[in-house]
Order: sequence, then C-alpha cells, then structure tokens
Amino acid sequence: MQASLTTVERRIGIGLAVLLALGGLTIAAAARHGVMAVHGAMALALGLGLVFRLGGALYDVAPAGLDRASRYDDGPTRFGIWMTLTWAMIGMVAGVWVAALLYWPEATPPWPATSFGRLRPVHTTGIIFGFGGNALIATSFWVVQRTSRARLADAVSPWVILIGYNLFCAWAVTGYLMGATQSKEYAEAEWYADLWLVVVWVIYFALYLRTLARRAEPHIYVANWYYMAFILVVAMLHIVNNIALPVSWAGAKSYTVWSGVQDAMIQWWYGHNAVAFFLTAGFLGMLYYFLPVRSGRPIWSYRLSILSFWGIVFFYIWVGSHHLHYTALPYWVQTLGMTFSVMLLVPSWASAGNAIATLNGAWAKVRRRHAALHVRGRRVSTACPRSKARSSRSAR
Amino acid sequence: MNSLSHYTDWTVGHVHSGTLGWVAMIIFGAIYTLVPQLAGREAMAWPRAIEWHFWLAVLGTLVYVVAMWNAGITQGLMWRAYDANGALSYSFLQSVQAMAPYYLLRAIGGAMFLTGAVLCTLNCRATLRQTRARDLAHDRPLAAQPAE
Repeated sequence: MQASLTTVERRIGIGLAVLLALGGLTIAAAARHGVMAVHGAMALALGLGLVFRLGGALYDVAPAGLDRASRYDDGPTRFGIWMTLTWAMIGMVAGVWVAALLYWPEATPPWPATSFGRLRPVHTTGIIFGFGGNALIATSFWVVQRTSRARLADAVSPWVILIGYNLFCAWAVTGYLMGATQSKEYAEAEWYADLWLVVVWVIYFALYLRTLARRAEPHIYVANWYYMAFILVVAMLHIVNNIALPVSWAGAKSYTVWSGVQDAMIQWWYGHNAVAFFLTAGFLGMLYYFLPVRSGRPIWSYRLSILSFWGIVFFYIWVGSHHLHYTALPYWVQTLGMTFSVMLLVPSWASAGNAIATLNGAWAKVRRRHAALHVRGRRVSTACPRSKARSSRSAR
Repeated sequence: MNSLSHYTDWTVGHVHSGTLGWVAMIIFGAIYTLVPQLAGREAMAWPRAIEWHFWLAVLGTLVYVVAMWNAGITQGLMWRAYDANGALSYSFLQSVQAMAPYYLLRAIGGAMFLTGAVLCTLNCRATLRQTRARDLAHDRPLAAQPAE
C-alpha cells in the first residue's frame, strides 16, 4: 500500500487512519459494552495499525510522479484478490460447517456463537459480500483502467474503499457471532455498519466515475456499464432496505422503519436485486472483460450485450415479489413478479448465448487451457525482456 | 409447479447452482487470469492444481445441486400427499428425516468445492510469492495523468 503512495498521500492516509481510530474509540466509549463496543475496538485497532504502517514508511522513497502516472494502479487489485481468497475460506468453511450441522444437528457445540442460526449469515455474508464483493471491487479496478486506458483517478481512495469495505464485512460477520442482527436476510448487519458501507460505496462510485472521466478511449466499454449498474443499484437497494431507527446511539439494536407486508416487499426487492445487481450484473461486467481477453476473440455481438444490459436492468428490478408467493402480499404484485421473472429468461439466456458464441471457434483453447495461457504468455514475454529483478512484493 | 418447489430445498439448490456454478466459477477464472499478471509471470505456479480445482468445483457443484433438487422435490411431494380420508400422509418430521441422505450429499459436494478453493488459495500464494517486476509496454495508460 504505502509503496505506491507519495509522501503527501501517506500523510493523508495517516490522517484518515487517525480519524478511523478516533471514530472507533468514540463508538467503543459510547457503547461501553456489547457488540458495538467490540466493533469500536476493531475500528480503533485497524486505525492504529494503519497509522503505524503508513507512519513507519512515511519517509521511504516515494514513487516518481510521472513514472507512477504512466502505469496502472494494480496494488489495490492485488490486495482485493487476497481478501477475496480470505473471505472464500471463511465463507466456504462456514458453509460446509452448517451443511454438516444439518446432517448432524447433535454436533452443535454448546456455545451460542457456533449455533446454526448465527453461522448461517456468516456463510451468506462471507460469500456474497466478502468473497463476491472483494472480487467485484478488485476486478473492477483492473477492468476500468484497461478499458479506459487510464490510471485510477487517485491513489488513496482505492485503499479507503477496500479497507473500509472489509471493515464492514468484518463488523457484519463478528456481529452475527455475537448475536447482533437486523433479521433481514442478506442485510443482517446493524445500522452503524450499514451507514459505514454507504460512505465507502459513495467513494467507490465517485472513484469509478472520475476514472471513466479521464479515459483515453472514446467509448465506455460495456463491462463498465455493468459494473456501474452494480455500484449504483446496490447503493439504492442498500439504503432503502436499511432505513432503520436505532434504539440508542450507543447500542447495536435498531428497528426498521418499514412494517408489515411493505417491509416484506422491500426486503425482497432488496434481497432479489442483491442477486440481480451484485451477483449478476457485476459478474457480467467481469465476464465481458475476461472472456474476450482469455479467448482472444471479440464479443460475438456487442449490440446484443448492450441489449441484454437494458433487458436485465429493466426486468430484474421487478421480480423480488416472487419470493413472497402464497403470502399476504397482494396477488397482483405476486403475478407481476412472476411475469417479469419469466421475461427475464430472454436477456439472461441472451447473455449466456453471447458468451458461448464468443467462445465459438476458440473451443480448442477451452479444452487445452494451457494453450490459452501460452497465448497470453507469448505476448507477455515479447513485451518483457526477461527482467529478473524481483520487486519486493510490489505495491503492497 | 412453483407450488411444489416453493419453500423447499429446491430453492437452496437453485441459489447454489448460480453462486457455485456462475459467480464462484467466474471469480476463479478471473483470479487465474489476474494473479499471474500481478506476479509478472506467464502462468500460475502449479498449473495442474488448476485442473484439480476445476474438476473438484464442477463435481462439487453437481453433487450439491442434484442433492438439493431431489431433496426439494421429495419435500414438495411429501407435504402435499394425502391419504384416502384427506388427511396428510406424512408428518413434517417425517419429511425432515427423509432429508438425511441429501443433506449428507450436500455437505460432501460443498466440501469438494471448498477443497478446490483451498487449492486455488495455496496456488495464488505460491504464485504471488515469486512476484517479478513487470513492465509491459502495451499494458499502460495511453497518457500519463497525475493523480487528482
């Protein structure tokens, strides 16, 4: 992290870390005990750790401005991939553990933190937000730079986004283990964690737009459309579903402002579109960059990819009510959700068909994946005259 | 048909076919593309581990999803089975007990997927530990713009 920052940026980073530590201290002092105090202490420890990390490197040699500006900023992507793999381990171990508990329920240990009800959201949050979210952020930084032929707009905010986002995930997961939950599926994290995520997400969206604004390519490549839909709509869903009144400013407990069947509808409008815009739109952005790059072929139909984009964005947002069939939700809303779910087959199969047609003619590369590796390898090795110099685990 | 599958483990199978088969697969595909480039290498450190990961992930997903589809249909059929007098043929507990083999299979499928992910993590660690300086003329911004 510190190696890619200038001295001024390291100072800014220290300032932000001090703010984080003070914020954590305030939360811990206000709450005094319980979940929120633990979370305040976590923020305090993270802030102090960052102060020492950046402070210890404050007067190290800083990268030359012009040299740095003529390269892409891949340090955050590298960190994001590490966090992706870390959360994959946490989330998947939790998943296999709860799957085993369903078969051997008598094996549940006698501690509340290891009960099924607390571990299950650790699995879902760990996978969706920890594993999926870090992968989306890490790849989006890589993709927006390559497809725009421009470096990320600034050097500090990618780190704020990734570190802040992982603090949200850690707050959420540790909160569940201690029994704190909003009881909204996939939105279990308590109110202060939700507010923190809003701050991080706004910085993320701003960085994405600022980077696109300095692009050297005339066209905004379709992968960026999907990534932007993911960022924008997830912000909208997250804010609306998580509007809640805390019982006290010094406690984790809060109550949602929505009630009854409206609460159920908003929850599943959120819940289903977490699948739509987090797990589908964002990952289609990933697909539309990595599939052409790996197969060495352009997208079969670029026009179809844009048509599918508007299809998915327009249809998906309506389908949440199919989670509430046979409930008190008015029948016409259930029918509406069901109808749009069926219509959604068109853009989703169009996307899948487009991907398969892109691979057409490159199936030999799929069968012998090493061949695909070698194609890239050749390009890499001609451009890189065997530099044996080992960077000291560059950019971390 | 939805009234048969709704509220059953079919839904769990459906979600995991998407998360394991689409989301996780494309993440691992992106990781295997990015990690060698981030490490300045031509390939991952252990190419054969990628093959193992791929097949563990495919088989794990299939075992998981097929187990949950069967579990869901079984639950749906048991919940709506009536005897000649119009009473329910099975108690809810019986439908839970019938899930045991599917839940065992689900845990096995998930463990296979996890094993593949562990291989991927170790492979990425081995690759990134040997990072070399990377300087690609074609992999640069078109114009150097200072940070804002």
